[in-house]
Amino acid sequence: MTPNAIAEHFDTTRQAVSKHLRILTECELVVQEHRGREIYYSLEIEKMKEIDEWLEQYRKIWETRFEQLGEVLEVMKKKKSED
Amino acid sequence: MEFIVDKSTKRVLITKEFDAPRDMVWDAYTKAELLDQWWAPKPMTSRTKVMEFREGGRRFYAMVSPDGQEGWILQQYKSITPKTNFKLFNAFADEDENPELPGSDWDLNFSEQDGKTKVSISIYNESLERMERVIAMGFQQGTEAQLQNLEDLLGKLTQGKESKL
Repeated sequence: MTPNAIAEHFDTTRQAVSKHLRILTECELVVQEHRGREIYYSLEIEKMKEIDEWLEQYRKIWETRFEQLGEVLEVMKKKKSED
Repeated sequence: MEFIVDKSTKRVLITKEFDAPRDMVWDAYTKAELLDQWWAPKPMTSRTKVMEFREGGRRFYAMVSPDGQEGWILQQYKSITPKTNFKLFNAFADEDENPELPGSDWDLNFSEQDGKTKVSISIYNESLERMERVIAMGFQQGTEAQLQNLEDLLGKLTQGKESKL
């Protein structure tokens, strides 16, 4: 997609879109391809997956933590009902 | 569990409902002896050295790996509304409580409905690099599944024992 085509989908300025694209390009999440006077951008699906996997680890920490909290709360409830 | 990363505000939003009254959940978040039972994702353990749950107070604790390595974390309590909300500043630290900046700002909310408690946590992270370190510390990939199973088993045994008392 061209920056103009991308910008049409967002309620923001063309400059802002370009800025985002520049950063995304630096991070190799999108790649540029020059065709004549236009630049086309395309998404790097594999890279997006890497980010997703990375975030998944963070999510997992909280999931494990909350599972453990759930167990602790069960013990607390049992104790309380026996008091 | 709901887990949302809002990159535009540099926040991670985590929401979870527990089948327990709010008083109990609040205690589990604010008392060291309870926190240490669940805070560290297995096979890590949490060891709280200092716990002063009051505005301006702090929790200084270590995340301990199975081979005994300690990673220290300092949490400074910024504001507390009992049973409802507390805010803290979280930072990695050395063993002498010197924080390593930048840290992250946490905002924790507790609400009860029909005997269930919803916990909503918002974490503001200045840098992604920091988040990466959190992962490295809290989650050791490919760690001994057996050890975890053993812990699960021990957990059940203790639970059984406690309920008999």
